[in-house]
Amino acid sequence: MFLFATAAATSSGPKTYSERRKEAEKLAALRNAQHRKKSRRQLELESREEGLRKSLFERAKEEEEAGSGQQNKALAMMMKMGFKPGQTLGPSDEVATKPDTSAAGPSYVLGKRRLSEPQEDEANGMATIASRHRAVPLPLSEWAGKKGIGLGKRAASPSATERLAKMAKMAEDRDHLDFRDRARQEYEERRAEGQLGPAQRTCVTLDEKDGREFNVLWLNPNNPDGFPEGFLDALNDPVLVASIHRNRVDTSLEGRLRARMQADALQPLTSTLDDVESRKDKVTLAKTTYSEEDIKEATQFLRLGPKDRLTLVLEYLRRRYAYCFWCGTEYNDQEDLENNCPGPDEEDHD
Amino acid sequence: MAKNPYTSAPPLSSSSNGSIKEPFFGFIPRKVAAKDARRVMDGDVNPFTKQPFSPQYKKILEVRKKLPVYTRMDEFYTMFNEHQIIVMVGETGSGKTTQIPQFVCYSDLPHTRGKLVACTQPRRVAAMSVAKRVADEMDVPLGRQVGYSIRFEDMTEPGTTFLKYMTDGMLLREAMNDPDLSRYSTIILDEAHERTLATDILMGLVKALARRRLDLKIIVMSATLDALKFQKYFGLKKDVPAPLFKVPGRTHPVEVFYTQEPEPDYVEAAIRTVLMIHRAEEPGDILLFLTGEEEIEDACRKIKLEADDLLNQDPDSVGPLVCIPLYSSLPPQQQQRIFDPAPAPRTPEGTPGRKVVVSTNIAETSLTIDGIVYVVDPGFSKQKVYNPRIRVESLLVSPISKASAQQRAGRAGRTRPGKCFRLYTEKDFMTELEEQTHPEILRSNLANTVLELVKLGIKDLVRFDYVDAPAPETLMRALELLNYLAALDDDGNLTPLGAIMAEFPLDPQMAKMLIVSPEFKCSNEILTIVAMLSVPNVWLRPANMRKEADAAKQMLTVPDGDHLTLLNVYNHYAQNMHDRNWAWNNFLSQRALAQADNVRSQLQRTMERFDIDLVSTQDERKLYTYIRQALVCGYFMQVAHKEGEKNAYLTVKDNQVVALHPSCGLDSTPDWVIFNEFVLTTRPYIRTVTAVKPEWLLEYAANYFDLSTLPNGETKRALQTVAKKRAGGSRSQSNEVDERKAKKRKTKA
Repeated sequence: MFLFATAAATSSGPKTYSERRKEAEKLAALRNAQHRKKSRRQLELESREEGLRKSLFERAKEEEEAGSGQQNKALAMMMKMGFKPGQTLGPSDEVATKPDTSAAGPSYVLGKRRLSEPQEDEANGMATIASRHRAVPLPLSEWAGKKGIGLGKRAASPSATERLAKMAKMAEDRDHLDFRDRARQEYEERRAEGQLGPAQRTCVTLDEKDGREFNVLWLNPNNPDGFPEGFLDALNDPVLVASIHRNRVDTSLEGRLRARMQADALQPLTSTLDDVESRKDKVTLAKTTYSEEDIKEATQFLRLGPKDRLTLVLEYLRRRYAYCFWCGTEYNDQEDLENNCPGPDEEDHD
Repeated sequence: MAKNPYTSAPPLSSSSNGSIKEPFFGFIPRKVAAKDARRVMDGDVNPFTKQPFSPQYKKILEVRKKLPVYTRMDEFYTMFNEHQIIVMVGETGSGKTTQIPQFVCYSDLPHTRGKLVACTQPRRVAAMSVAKRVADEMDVPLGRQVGYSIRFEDMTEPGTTFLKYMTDGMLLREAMNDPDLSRYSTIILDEAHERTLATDILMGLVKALARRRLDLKIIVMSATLDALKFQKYFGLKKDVPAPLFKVPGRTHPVEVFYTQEPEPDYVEAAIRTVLMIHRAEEPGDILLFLTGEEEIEDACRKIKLEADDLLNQDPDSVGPLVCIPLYSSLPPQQQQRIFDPAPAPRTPEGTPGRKVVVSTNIAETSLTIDGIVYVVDPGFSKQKVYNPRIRVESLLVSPISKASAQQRAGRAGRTRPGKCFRLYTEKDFMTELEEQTHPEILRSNLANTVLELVKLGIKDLVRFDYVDAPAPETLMRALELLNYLAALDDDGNLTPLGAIMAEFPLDPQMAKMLIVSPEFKCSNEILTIVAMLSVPNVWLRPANMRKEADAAKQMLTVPDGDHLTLLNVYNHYAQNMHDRNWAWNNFLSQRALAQADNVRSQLQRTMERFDIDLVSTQDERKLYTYIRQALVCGYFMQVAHKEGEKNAYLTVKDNQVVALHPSCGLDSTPDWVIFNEFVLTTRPYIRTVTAVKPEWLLEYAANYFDLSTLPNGETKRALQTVAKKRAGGSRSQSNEVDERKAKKRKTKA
């Protein structure tokens, strides 16, 4: 298709700019598609959805029309007992009939709450009349992850508290490593360190395109100059701040001296009313730029190892921008990402 | 020693016997008043054995008298004498399961009329333990006047037993050969609220039976308050619901707490809550509900670590804590640990210890743990759901129902007022949870049930009076399977083969392969495989010795298929004289193997009843081939074909991409395999898998692999190639087929 298009283009003389731009777009799209190798998991999911979509009555009908023309024997037996497709089972005075079972909506919902569509389920699954008999099989529904009840629908964008909890868990898990794990961990951390830079740059680009001015995930302790003005000072964790200052590229005498002075600087006494006033101002000023939550999150984030930080950044990119770092592809939406990216981990992309 | 039941005189006339007065003198069946029954119970002579009551009996009687049900005996007898069907509601602890059947016996006097009273239970363990308890209460040995009957174990004495506790499945099987259940004077369906598949079917059967047999009494017992559904269903006249006999439970109030916000991680929140209770609440044990083995073990470890930390930091105000896991695959000795008392305080005056039980939903209904005061409920459970469209059994985590949540909360109020901590908001409880858990009949494969129903003469499965009717597609799948297995003819009538299949307490596929196995000269071996498939998992894999366990399993593995491996395991077990140590050293469950042994001999008896020979081929080299061919005869509808570059398997006809289960022992990936189960857990897996040849599929299941009806695709092309090769092949082969077919016809006739 693409080759044909270029051939046609070259035959018609010199290309205009817009033609060349379109071509480049096509090429990009093609490359994008090549990245999208279907994973095993994806094949499993697709076949399942396909299989669950069609009722057995539909399948029987299709086979009858396509194949030998003989009726499905099991269905024939049921019809002999007085069944008509679209009806429920049960005593005849309780049977409910629906216009067409085949039109039943998705009977399979993965990763989503089954209960998020209760009306639909009610309408399709249970017959419309006061009958409690089932017309279509129960859906298979999977609860994604360990989220509590009430959070099923909000899976797409985790709140700051959720992220904080997650970071706390990551930090805790690191403490439980044994010796062997630790050796491997160190190697992985170095690798992650290398990948973190590009990932964070992508994050900054996409965020800025989206109009975001600040994101905790942009922060890199190895590059203190990348921190926004005054942010470092706002972090109330001296050990962490000192370690970040040590990473400062500016290791000149002057620079170190300034850092030293900053650390040793005497705080103004707050005995006079003026001072109290001015400090208050300062505090409120700081608060408007960096919320308490940001500070807390940043502290947590910076305390994590490179691997955990990378995980968080990549997760954010996937959820917010449907961008897969390993594919190098920005998908149209979550559904596209889910269908076409082989998975969230690097191994999935081997 | 035992009295001959045939010579013992009927009790009513034995009063003339002299010295001992007949306690039941003057009793007229079903016209007995509570005061008379009480008089006999308080008497000195056991009316059923004519022996004096033991001191033990008197002691137990005093305890029984305190049960809520006992105090309502008058009301019960009044209602029982008047009505054919009663719906009874009694919460846990009311004593309904032990007392009501006894009351019925004092009124029915079944022993005088050669009848029985049946009380069904959804679970084997409950049937056994309740029967034992009731035998004690009635001062008779278990297995004589009072007995139990569960699959593969009959603990009754025909002619003597008049009160029988049994699993609901067993009563259903009995109905197959005696559709009027004429042996029984009263049938009690207990725990009806659990809505097991067999109980649901039984409700339909006994409702119809009540119209045919006016002498039959029926009691439906439920632990929840939504009895109205049952009352309406059992209203024999339209718009007149069945009468309700209600007994309050002996439970204490439970205070329910909700979280303010939804929890981002319910496991982590659960652990936090348990520790919070441990630190801040009064002494009393905790029950935490989680979903599966891995989650439970993990939580136990974390709780223990944190609790030890607390204890070290603050030994004065925090007591010691034990954390006990509970799930069904746990060996029974370990399940028993939940009944251990909470740990003692570290010093005589110290803070008392606390027991934490972390359990799946088996502690919701099946097991009662005394001493629980706090319940932590994250709101999830794993549920089995069968889907007929792709024929998969899924086992996925999903939110529980409101009814389930209430049941869980109730567990906190068994010994004293308790507290229940729900790890979700009150609003989410109201809006997100469904009212009721779906009854099992909506979630199950019905092949077995349909065969049983057809056998007991229910012809119209479409218009059967279901309490809740299953999806029509589930019935369609069941009929399809039974038709392909030749258990039902094209008109839905039971074939002679189907009649025999129904006699085996097995899935129809298994019954079929057992019945045809003598043709393949391997019925001995197939019998073993069937027995091994009918018991819980024989492989042990302790968390700290996984590698050793896997190595031991490797030694016993037959690379051609898991079915053959099971055979191999059993044979080794038999060669080692059923040695407990051998099993232990090879990481095998001695209990499961012993059970397999028992099942095997039970099934062997059934085979003998139908003249199915037990044979083994003399040709050792062909043995495994014959076995695999026999497997095909039962399981040809559960075949997967390898396709694509990733070694993915596709199920035939449903085209589901599936993976071999991690426990599978195949050393290669053969092109065609049969599987025992298709399950959806974290991924779609086929479990217990054996390699087969495509020629066998065409030969032994020609109907199913009819190439004209197969959908186009790789599977069809592969089979077409094989079919062509076969057609062009030697004549002798087809002769062999004809011979075998002829033989088959003979065995059928």
